[in-house]
Amino acid sequence: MSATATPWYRHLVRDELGVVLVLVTLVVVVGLAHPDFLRAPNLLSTAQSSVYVGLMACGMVFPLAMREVDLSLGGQYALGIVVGAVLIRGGWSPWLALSAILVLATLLGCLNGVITTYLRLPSFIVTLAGAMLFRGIALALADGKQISGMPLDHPFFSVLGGELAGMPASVWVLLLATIVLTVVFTRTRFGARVRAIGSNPDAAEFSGLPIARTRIAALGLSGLMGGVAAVLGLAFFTAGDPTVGNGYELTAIAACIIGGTPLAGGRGSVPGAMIGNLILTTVAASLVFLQVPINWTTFATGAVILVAVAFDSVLRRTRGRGFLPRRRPPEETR
Amino acid sequence: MKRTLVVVACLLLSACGSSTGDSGSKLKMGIAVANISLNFAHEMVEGAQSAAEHEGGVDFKAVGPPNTDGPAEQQLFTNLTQTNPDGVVLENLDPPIFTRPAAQAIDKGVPVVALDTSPSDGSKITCYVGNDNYDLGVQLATELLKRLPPSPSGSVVVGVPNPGTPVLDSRAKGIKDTLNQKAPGITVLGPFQTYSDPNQNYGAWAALVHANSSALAFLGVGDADSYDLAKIKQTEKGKYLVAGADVDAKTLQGVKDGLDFVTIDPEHFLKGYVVTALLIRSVKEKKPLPQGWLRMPGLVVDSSNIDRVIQRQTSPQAAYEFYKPEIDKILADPQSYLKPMAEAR
Repeated sequence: MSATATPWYRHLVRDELGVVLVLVTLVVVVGLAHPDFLRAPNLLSTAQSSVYVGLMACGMVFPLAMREVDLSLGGQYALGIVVGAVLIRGGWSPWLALSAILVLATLLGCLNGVITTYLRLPSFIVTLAGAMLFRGIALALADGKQISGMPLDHPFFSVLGGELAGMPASVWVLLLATIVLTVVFTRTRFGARVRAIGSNPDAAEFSGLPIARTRIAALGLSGLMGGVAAVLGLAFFTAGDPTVGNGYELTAIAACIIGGTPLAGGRGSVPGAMIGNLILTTVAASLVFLQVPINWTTFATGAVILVAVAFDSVLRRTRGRGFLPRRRPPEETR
Repeated sequence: MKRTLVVVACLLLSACGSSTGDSGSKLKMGIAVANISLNFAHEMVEGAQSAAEHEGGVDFKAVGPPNTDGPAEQQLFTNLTQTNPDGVVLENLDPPIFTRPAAQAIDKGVPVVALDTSPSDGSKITCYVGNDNYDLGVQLATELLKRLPPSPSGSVVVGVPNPGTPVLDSRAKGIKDTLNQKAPGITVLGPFQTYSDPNQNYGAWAALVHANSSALAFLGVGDADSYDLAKIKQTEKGKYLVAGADVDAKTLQGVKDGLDFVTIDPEHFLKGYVVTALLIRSVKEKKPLPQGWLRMPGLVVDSSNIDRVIQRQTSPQAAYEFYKPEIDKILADPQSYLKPMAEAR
């Protein structure tokens, strides 16, 4: 082995390992103080609470990695849930309604991309307006009320909203989506284009990469993940509520950044985004166990997130160097 | 081209803003609510609109932001006092923001009445229609004690979705004080923040249930609390008691299925109806508004009346028919419901 070879532990300290360590530390610390926190039902319900924003965060990695953003996800989530509930109440099979939600969400995401591309508008503004449009349509469709009366015995609600192999079905879907999107992001031509465009848009254009098509597809994929979240939300909460999803897009962006997808684009991590969101959800759950006084909850949430992100950032920058005494460079040893 | 677009936009906006083509002889009134998307505000608006329709001769407009956003509502309220100056009902969750705008509107001669949240000093609002939220908390705690064995011992967990919202904080205080006074063997834990978003609310309550697995009961004071607690109890086959407030469809189903032992109904339709009818009659008859806090009762919804309440929620007309005897009674003698404004809670 040469003197300049990378130490073995540096390979382990990859981007995702930082957030994994933060998450594990958080769980262990709270678990030591309150062993009930480590009980399976609590960990599973915490995981389930993270599913909806987690799916959005996984999808959000794609627009963020190419220097775009999708602020319409919360609106798409609300619209998807309401449209699904309206269709099911109108006699549609829940499985058909599921398909309709996914198709609609993908189309709306693509529409964001088309408007952004061909009107040459920032995706920030287009998707912000889209969020209001989608939420407004949801509110009008629902007439400002919850849509209830779903056929709860249907497998859509009992299976997709229930458990599979001892774990909430929605958590399985999140895991599957994370794996699939990780492959898409890191192992496909589309993923490579997304990263290349985000890394240097001018160079990407000069080299003839299909920027417009890639942008539309990235926002369409983001929309699709909002649709998947809506399907799972409808299956679990069993009603169409037009008020849901407020601020989810910002939490999803925060999760992406925590997980190693910078706003500057060019790189990203789908599992990092999923785990970043799990950290945010775990913080909220842990504050309950720590019995933080009600008026200090918001402060404590912010403080824990800041400490967690700072820890991850230090780990990421040092990439393990800080764990061992600093070695002198080879030339100094001569 | 640009000028044509502006003209077309103005025409469209004016067409959207006018509810009738012949509103010249009608009183122009309205209601501003904190969040037009939320069920409680929606019910108040329905009550107010029903009252305007029944009283007649009123061009009535409802405004409110799609999210809970005090400054955005304040802007809409100020606009409403200019476009509909014959009288405005103000419902909000943050009274200090509205102190100056309400006072300015009243100085300009616009009658303003407060709904659901008591007005702050300096707002010049002298008529307020709202629940005794502390008492709603007392009612919830009392219903719990009826369902526990004599001299109960253990813990009860209380949650508040949005700490700092006076209406919700008062309910939580009512629960806590009552349990402390009437059941010294009970330790009240909280209130804890449970968030208003249904998913966050579910997660917060799930964590509270797991952190306090031996608790006797879990009580919330908001709408998401009620149906999320019912869902958790059902999913986890909990032996504890759960309940909350408001009458969302899922909450009513929770009561009907025996998951929520009660829900406390602040009767939003009734409040919206009464305050609007009082305002319209005051303007039409040129009589002063009742001065002070018109204390509205609130209803305990349990297995004995759940079917009637579910039927009531099917339409504004059904709600009106349900409440008609009470509306007639209150409007016939509003003075008997009045309390000093300073006692509002």
